[in-house]
Amino acid sequence: MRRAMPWPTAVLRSLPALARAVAVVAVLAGVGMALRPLEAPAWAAQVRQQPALEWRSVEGAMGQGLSLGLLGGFRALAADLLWLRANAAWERCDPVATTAALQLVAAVDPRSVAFWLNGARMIGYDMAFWRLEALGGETALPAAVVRHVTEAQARAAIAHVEKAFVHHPDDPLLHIEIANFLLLKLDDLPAAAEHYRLAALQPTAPFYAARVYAELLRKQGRDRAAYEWLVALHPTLPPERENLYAMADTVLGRIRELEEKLALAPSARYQPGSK
Amino acid sequence: MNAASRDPLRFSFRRVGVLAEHAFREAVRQRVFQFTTLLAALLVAGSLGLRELDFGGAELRFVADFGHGALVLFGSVLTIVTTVQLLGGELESRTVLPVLARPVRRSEFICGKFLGVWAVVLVFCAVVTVLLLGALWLRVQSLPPPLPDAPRAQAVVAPYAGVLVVGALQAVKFGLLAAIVLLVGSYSQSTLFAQASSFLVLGICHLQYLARDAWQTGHGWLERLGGGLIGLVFPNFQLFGGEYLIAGSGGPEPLLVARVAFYGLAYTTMFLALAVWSFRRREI
Repeated sequence: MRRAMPWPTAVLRSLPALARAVAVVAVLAGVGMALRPLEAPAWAAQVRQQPALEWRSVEGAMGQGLSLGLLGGFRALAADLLWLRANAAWERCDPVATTAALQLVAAVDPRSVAFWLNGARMIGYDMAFWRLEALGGETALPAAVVRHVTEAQARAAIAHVEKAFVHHPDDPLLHIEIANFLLLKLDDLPAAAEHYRLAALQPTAPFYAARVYAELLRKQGRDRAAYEWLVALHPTLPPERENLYAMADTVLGRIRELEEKLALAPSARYQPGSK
Repeated sequence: MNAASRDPLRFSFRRVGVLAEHAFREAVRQRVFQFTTLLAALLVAGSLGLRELDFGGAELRFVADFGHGALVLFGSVLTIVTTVQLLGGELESRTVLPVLARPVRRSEFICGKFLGVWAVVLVFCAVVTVLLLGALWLRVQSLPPPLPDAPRAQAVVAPYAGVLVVGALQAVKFGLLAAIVLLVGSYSQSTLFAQASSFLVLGICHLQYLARDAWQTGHGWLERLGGGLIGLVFPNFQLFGGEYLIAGSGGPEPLLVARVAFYGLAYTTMFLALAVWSFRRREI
């Protein structure tokens, strides 16, 4: 019968292999240090464009299939599947599961603005309704409770959209979404107007953002500011026969209305093409 | 003592070429190459149909993401399995002995295997990238023009340059992975162990940035030391991912791409040198 090798002998015999492994690790650590100046700027550029996946925040919640999918590079597909999960929870009117799934979607693939916007609408509009229904329904509840729940959910929705600015600093739709919550749920007209103004200043802003900003100024009684804004806006718009969405004639009509209201002298009135 | 007696067999690129050609032919004949290439091609083509599943991202980005997922997943499987089969298979079946009994240096043997595997992976990357470009082009043709509801409503532009660059960077990454697998294979005694270890290393390399984070922001000294060591020893495979190269509005930055490519090639050279060193000391 073969005797087992005494442990000191076994350790001594494995020393060369161990020394080789240690040498390999030492060399690779040296290479890692030497290549660090190459890696660091490239990694910084990558994180700037697209923040690294917060693996620790999503790994436990996703299950092995989706985790493997992420490691394999199917980030967009994993986010879509998680979005399905969020919608399934939304259909069940389950605020906890919906919120968790929305946070996962945002962590896995923050590049899609639609996920942020639709997620915020679920939080701000639908969840407020679910909570009120769970408390007995909007009609049966005191106005103060309804207002408290509605405002709390609107603020949660705005907080959700604000997280997206890290990934989409120039996206006007995020400002418009926040403005709509401020306007429709929080009755904060000045703050809503400010977000419409910020949206209108973004390079890819839709034409209507600037018009809505002017309307919100008028609603606040700031007719002079609205007039100056529209006068500055009108020369930048293409003629209505070229682009219906720009609504240049509508903007000119509102300028004329404001001129009447402000009782401007004919010489002080805006003349298209004069600037 | 003359030079010939000191170095009886000089390193020969010609022999490396012969070994690489042999390895390439052997790898192409393997089912794993045909299987992974076919599956990746089917996934890329299927991404045009799967866009029905895309709820958030722009369609072109979804197609590009999906194609890159296929490239990364099946490219990694192809690289690891082919490298292990070519090296470990020969070691296990002892067919390496008649090869090394000839006037062939062990370094030539390892370099030949590496180049053979890399050539196979390059073919795979080229096929998948061309298919992905075709899928994107097809999708662009069927997209409606953008609504003119904004002053700067722009036509959709497919990220062709980004897709090409990412395909090339993935090819560099798979070369690095092949060199790592050769190093693992030069140690291991069985193909199963080599494959399992290689997939483990692949996972570590993809999550290396977490180790870097632990090094910089870890709480205990053990976490910082462990994170620092892993962060230094293993290359960061996320750098080659390239989603950020496509996402950038101005297309890929040449300097950034060059940095990542040089990073990958430098690591590849080092891993290959270590694999040669380890293989020369191995008892066969």
